[in-house]
Amino acid sequence: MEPSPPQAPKDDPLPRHMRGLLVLLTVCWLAFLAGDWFLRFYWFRWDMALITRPSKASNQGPGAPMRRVELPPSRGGDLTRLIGLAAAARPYEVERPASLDVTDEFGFRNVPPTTNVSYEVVVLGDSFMAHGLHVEETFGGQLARATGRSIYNYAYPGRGPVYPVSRFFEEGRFRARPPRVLVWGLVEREIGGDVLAALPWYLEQGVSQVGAQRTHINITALYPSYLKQALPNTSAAAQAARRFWNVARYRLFGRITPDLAIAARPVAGRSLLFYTPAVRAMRWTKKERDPVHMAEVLAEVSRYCGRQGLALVVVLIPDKEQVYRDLLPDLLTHGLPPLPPSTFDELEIEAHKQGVHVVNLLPAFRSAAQRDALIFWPDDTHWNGEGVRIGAGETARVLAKVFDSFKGGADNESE
Amino acid sequence: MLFNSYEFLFLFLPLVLLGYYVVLPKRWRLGFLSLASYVFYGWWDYRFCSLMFLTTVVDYVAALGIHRSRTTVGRRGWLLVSVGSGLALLGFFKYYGLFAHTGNGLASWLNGSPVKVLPELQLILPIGISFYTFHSMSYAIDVYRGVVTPARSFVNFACFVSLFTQLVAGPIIRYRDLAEQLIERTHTLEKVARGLAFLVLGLVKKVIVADGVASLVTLVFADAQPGLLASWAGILAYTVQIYFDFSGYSDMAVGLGYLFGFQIAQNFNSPYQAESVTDFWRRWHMSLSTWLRDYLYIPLGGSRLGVRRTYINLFLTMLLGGLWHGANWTFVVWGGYHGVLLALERAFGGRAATGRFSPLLRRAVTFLLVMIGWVFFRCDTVSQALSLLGGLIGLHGWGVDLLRTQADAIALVMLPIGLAVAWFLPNTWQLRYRFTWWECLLLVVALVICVMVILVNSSSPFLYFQF
Repeated sequence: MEPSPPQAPKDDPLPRHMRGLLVLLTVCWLAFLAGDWFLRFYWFRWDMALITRPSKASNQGPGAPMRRVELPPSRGGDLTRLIGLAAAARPYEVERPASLDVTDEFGFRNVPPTTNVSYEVVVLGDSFMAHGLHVEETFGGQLARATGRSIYNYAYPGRGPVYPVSRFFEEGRFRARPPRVLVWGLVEREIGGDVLAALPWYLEQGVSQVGAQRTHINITALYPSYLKQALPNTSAAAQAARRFWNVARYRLFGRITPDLAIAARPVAGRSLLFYTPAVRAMRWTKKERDPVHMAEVLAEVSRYCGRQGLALVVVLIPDKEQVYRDLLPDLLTHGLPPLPPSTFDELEIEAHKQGVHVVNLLPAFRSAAQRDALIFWPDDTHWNGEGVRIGAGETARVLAKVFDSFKGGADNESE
Repeated sequence: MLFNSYEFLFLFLPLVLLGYYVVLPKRWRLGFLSLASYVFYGWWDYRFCSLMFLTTVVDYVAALGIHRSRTTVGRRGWLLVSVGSGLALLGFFKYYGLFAHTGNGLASWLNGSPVKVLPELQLILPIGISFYTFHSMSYAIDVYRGVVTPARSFVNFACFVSLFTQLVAGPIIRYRDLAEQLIERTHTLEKVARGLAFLVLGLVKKVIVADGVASLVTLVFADAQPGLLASWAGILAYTVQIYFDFSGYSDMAVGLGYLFGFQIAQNFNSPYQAESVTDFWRRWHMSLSTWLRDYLYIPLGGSRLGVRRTYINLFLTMLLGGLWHGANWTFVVWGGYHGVLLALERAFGGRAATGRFSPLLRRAVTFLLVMIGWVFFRCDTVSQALSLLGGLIGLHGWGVDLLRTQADAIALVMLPIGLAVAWFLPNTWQLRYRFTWWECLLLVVALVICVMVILVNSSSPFLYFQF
């Protein structure tokens, strides 16, 4: 049978109700589009990714300055918040005790006053480096305890690993009293990609132009490869749909969102939640991760820091899913090829070859995990106090060597 | 870019509709559609736009050459240019890897140790190359046969080849079906309404039904030796998935065509209601089966050269049709399997032989035969397919555990719904597009659900999007 040649639809006009519906649909669609795009700029601040404005050398940090607030006990972390329904999240939520949130004059998590204070070490990074119930329990706080050195916490939660570094050099606050060492925390799933790879270029070209840049559109933000993820991820409608579906799925099928998976067995008596996209990221090929190229990037950043009179120590923080990979539930691995090993070891070797000081936390974390220690919050992607303590301890050892090398250099000079 | 993606529904389509209807003058519409289609195609990988453009230029020039040439040799020469270049492109990008791998395997086996006679290149398969090369080649062949005259302008032809509505997943359109529409077509509210209805129904088929059963398919086909129940569930799920995925996409293509005034031919006509394999191929991917008939089967001689030759032609046509679907020997086996069935039906399965069986029994048997073929179509290797077929007859146990512990509830709900719709309900072309209020409301609700599913599936949870 021949496929019917295209038939002209009957020319009888549309019924009135269908015409009305068409008009209504069109109006609703346009309103929906307009609203989604508006919120993309208003809520998600997509303009910051799309448009580069001249950087203003501002000292304002991530939080309100001189904050001293007692936070009540709370439950739940960023993973349980994805569940979307309090009743469904409750079994997985972990209690946090009351805490004291303190920020300095610049809005960073340090005990004030920090103005005109010299620090030997500045800690850079995102929420991992800022995380901690109290200032003393943050990575910087624990590092200070482990090393006895003066540490400034310059972590910027929610802005990725690159922003704090570029901000540190743009701001210039520490030019008068520069630290000796920068400790930069990089979380495993953040390593790779164009943003990190572009950091050396920006440090060389962009930092010196602070205030002198012109506003321009970031062409890379319009690349299809970027828009494919950025557009749905900055859609209020998409996030609302996700939330709605998480609730509906639980009510209909009793299942929590597939963005989360529960560990095959409890750790230290706690049900551990995994973030499914992080497990998918573990399947990135070596080519995608490109540890050799990443090591070169780190080396360039390190050399830049060196030219500014600073030593760089990079702390490689493994994902929770990587540390507890033996506990990944079967549904995340069934029928799929075995998960490749972490590229951290190779990245560490390559970085060392390039002369970069690296602290690879994976072996220490894995060792702790095998002892059934809980080093991440069960309901959160972030490490807990124990994880921070182990991380700071490992970093302290490397820091000691770095400072020893300064002494060696000073001795050589005096000779 | 896929039709069921955020960037298509919320960025590309609104902008193209705006440009087409509001911003641009009428005479620029085809050019604009062509440009938009190249953006649509390049969204996946901009480098391969040049391949499509090259195909377009070669076939446009070849068709002109055929039309203007006064000798048969000249006409054939230009035809060879068109067909040769199209097949060469397709052969290189799609099939070189298969033949290199097979050749090296054969050479290694003969040699007794691994040997590489052909370099195994890591080629990226350009999306839609199978479709646009066939579009383009059929144009030159039709000009050669005198069925159509060459396109009035290059822009018209470029629009025909690249039109985004059917570029990456068909239907395979003949130039003659679009020629007049490229020059003049109407844009009416009726067409828009019909187009939207097709689009929504296509989205429902793809996003709700096909994607709904997808997890069950993945689960079973990932198992090396699925049990009886799991095998049946998995294969039935794949049978549902491939139909609703493909026909849903075709419906969306038709719907989008209507939005821009084009009327695109039907591609699926309730194939799982077929009463014979021959009937199935009159209902499944009709644009491909007629293309193969007109440009392969008939030139091979069709049924004009005797009974034995007819069977051979049928078999060869289906074999190559199978290979067209993918560069894997499983597709060849699938095609050959259907070729054998068609030949057997032609030999023994005429109306006289099967007329005494009830239509329901004929449909059931046809469905079963088609379903078995899909096993080869879906599996990566022949041995995997044979293992799955073994599971169908219970060689690997019952397979209850896999379904009970890991099957997604949505997939298990969607499977019987999909089967019921495919077996018993009319298809989208059989609907009368004058809906009542309630039907309109149902369509709107379906659209909202589809959009929500697309939004959920295309986005990541708001956790680390900014890093």
